[in-house]
Amino acid sequence: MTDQTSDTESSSEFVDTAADDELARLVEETVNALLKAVRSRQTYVAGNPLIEKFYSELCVKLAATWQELPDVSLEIDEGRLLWRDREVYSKPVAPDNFAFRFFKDGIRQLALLPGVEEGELAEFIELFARSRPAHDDDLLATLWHRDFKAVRIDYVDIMEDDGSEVPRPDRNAGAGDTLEDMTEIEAVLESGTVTEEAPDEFSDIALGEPDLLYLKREMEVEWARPIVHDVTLALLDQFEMRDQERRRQVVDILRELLPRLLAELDFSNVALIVNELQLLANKTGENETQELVTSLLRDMSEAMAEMVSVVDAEGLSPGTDELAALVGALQAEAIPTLVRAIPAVPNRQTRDRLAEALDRLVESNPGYVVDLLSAEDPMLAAEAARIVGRIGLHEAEPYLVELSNRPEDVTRQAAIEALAILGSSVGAEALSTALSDPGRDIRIAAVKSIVAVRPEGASALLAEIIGGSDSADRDQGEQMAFMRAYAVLAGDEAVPLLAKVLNGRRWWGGRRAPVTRACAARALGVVGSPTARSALEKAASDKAAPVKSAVRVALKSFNNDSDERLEAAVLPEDDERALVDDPLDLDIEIEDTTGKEGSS
Amino acid sequence: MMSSQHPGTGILSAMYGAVRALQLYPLENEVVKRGLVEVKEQADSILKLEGGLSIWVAGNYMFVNDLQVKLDLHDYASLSAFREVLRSHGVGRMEASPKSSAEDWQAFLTLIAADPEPGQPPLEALQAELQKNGVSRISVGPPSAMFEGSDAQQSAEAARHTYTRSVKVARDMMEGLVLGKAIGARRAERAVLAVVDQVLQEPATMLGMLTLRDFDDHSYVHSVNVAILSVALGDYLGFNREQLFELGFAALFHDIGKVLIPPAVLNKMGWLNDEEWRLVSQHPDFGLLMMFSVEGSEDLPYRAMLAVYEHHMKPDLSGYPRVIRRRRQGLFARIIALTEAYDAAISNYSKQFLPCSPDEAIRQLREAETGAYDAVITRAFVNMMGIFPVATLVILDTGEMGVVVAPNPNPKSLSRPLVRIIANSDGERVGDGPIRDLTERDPETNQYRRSIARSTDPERYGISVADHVA
Ligand SMILES: [Fe+2]
Ligand SMILES: [Fe+2]
Repeated sequence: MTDQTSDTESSSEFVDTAADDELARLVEETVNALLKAVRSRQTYVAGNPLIEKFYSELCVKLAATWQELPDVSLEIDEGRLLWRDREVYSKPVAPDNFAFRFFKDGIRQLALLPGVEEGELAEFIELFARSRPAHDDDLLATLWHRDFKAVRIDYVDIMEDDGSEVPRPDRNAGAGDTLEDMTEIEAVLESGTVTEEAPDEFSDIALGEPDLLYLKREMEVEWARPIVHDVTLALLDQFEMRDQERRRQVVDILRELLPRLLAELDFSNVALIVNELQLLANKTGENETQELVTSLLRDMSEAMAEMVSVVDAEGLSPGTDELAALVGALQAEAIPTLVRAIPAVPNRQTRDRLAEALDRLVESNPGYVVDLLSAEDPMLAAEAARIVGRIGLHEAEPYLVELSNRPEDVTRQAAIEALAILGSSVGAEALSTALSDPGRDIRIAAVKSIVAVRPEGASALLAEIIGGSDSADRDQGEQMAFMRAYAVLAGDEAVPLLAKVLNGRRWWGGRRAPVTRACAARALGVVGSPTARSALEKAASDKAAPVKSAVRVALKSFNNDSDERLEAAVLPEDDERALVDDPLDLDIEIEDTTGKEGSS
Repeated sequence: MMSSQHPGTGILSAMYGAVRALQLYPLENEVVKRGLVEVKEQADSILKLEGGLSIWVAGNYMFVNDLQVKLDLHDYASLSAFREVLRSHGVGRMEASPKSSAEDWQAFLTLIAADPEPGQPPLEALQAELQKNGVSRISVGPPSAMFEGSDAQQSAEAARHTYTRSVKVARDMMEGLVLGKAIGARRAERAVLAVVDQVLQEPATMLGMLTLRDFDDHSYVHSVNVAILSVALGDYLGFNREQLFELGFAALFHDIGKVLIPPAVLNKMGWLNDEEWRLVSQHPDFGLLMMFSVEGSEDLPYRAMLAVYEHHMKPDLSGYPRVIRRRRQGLFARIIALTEAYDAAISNYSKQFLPCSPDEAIRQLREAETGAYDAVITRAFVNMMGIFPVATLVILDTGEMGVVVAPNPNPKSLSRPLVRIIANSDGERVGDGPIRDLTERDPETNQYRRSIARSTDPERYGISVADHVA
């Protein structure tokens, strides 16, 4: 076809060499700017202002290029980039040669089109910078899948050649030959021309509007399909309907798949799998199948416990049913993870479910938690000690005693508390030792535990400490705890010593510190006997305010019945904390109240 | 500015909109005026950016400036109707220069909006009218050019290259699996993306590869054939490139489970006994499990796994494997079920059945019992392939022999494809002869110049059909 299209167009067909040289310099500058942008992206961490700087410079260059050229289309040679046969980049061939990176994957042309700077360019640079030649990353596949509109590539097939011939089409095949068999052709010629087929002959295959809608919908369904879920169901079907061999294969696959799903936080499919497998194993009633499933769950337990507790912090917890399924499938192997993780789980529901699961697991697998008592991680060992105490695991006592000798305060305290709860004689000695522990909290824990366990000789030990010269070095909370414990354990026998602390004078005539005396007063209140009362009354008008106030409170408690008093002594939590936190204020307040009450 | 839509879709829709308006209303009508303005704007934006505008119609496909325009289902009706308008005037190619004016467009669109005069070759008539109206900056040409020239030779070789390599990849993969090696996703990925690109660029050529019979081991050939057919059908249905990739990947692997079945059973003559059938019918199960050993990609190919697992299930789930938990045969599996049935029918894989001609295979699919395949997808497939699919060897009522090189895009002319003549009515072979459009009519009698009298078996004549397809 000929037409008289414009003369200007045809003139552009002629190559204007000088102008092209000029343009080639522009392209070269653009390529250099691109290289700098790429290199800055490779060199600096994201957010570095240099990345932005070189990128902006590249955009400026491109904008200038679009004034002159409709695109930047580069031929890729092994180590060079060519623009209209002119070299615009050339470096020795090496793995990091910009051109070679494309070349080695079969890319032979790279074109940037106007508009590339509106988003695709940054992504292109990112993809290129991230692809690792050392890892054999396929730049072609990466760019192909990304399907940029303004970055075009052309490539050749570089699949390895094994020398086998690709059969070539023979355009002239058979030319000049004559067909040997003419019977079909002759028959056709005899029967004459073919009449036009009736228009409705193809009505059975016509695609109407409803068909198009159907296809459109089918595609929507396909792209929205929950593919992982459907694969999961297929695996479960296979597990259910085939033989033991197949079940083993499926379980092997699940051993790889489940951690993947967990890592993707796909709790619903994990829950589905563990639930269904347990149901199916029970249904078959075969030992072999049950063992197979159990072994899988054992292998997965650590990861499941880990994921559930870790992601909880990010607010990505599984739903209630999923959580139940996951937690229900946990095996003893999850114990260490649970012990470590539970205290840090922020979500109450998740934490409770995990704790329940832990108790269930520990009850039937005590060995795991006993092992943990010797864990190197002090927090872990301490947590294990708490659990041992909570579930009353007596066989763990020797390990707790060991634990009570470890250098970390947190383990010693936990060990002491656990021993106290277990309350056996094995731990008594450790408890007594702990009364002189260098750690203040541990001493308090020990003294509380002593009250619970009441080991032989404990009151003598307490009397020794209370009467000792260094007892005044201890803070008020600790003194209170010790004296109270003494009062509870020794009862009326505690009165002489406590009275001495409250009212006695030292050899030089001085009294004990008011704080110490106040504690003694409260302890006497705990004893609640007539001798205790008279000791208290002696100090009723003491000059020291804390003492006076404590005496009042103690005397008041004589109105309560003795059980209540004892209970308050054994579990003096609130009271004690208040004393420790701000003991004097509290006392003054009590004094004020009682003062009003007294005046009314 | 880049739009997410293919840049060519806009101009084609605009042209068709204007043509429709011109068919319904006079020139002064607002709708017509708006339509013409839209065409001019769309054309100018392309002309400004690319310096030229050419539209090609080739078989089922349309190209704007050498880029194939995807007919997705959304545009399907209007774009294929527009393609039909062009074809009715014998136009296979049109070009507009940057200088084309609003008047040029108005004249051109008015001319093609009218039905062609019966009794004369439509293209020549249109060209004459354009000249008469002084439209020199929009020109039209015949369709066959797409299939001629050195480019065709090149693309045929590229297609063969891709095809041969893909067969090799399939073979290496499957043989490797038998030896217990993992499936390397990278090579498969490369093979599939080349197949997708080839199918998008030269669909007819790639479909022609199906008739290559130069390979010994048919199970690998089958995999590649099913990949080509599936990608072509996916394209016809409007999948995007990435979706085509996924489909092609799935199709390439669809029978991978067969590597676990002894060849003696797979190739057995005569009916399989119960034990043998039990084994063969588990190839989707094996395939699913084997797909878990694909290595080299971050994600597992879940969608492909499902296609592998479900490709024999049938839409009503009456096939195999049996379904216990809620499931629906997926779109990929339905496509593959159909394309693999077609490929099996035209090939001599099974020693039990003789291969049938492509048109016979299409006929069998049309007549297949309901429930075997998805009815709508089957119809779409037949529409894509035509009644006489690419590579069918046909005898025309003129006594000439030819090879189908492209289907007719008009659903009403499905039995009138483009045919390359390879022997004249004297039975003389002519090598690659001219391509004839079977919708061409004799201007004198208004009768079709050529019609297909029957299809025939290339082996009978010692013809390698693939030599003539592209
Ligand atoms: Fe199959
Ligand atoms: Fe198959």
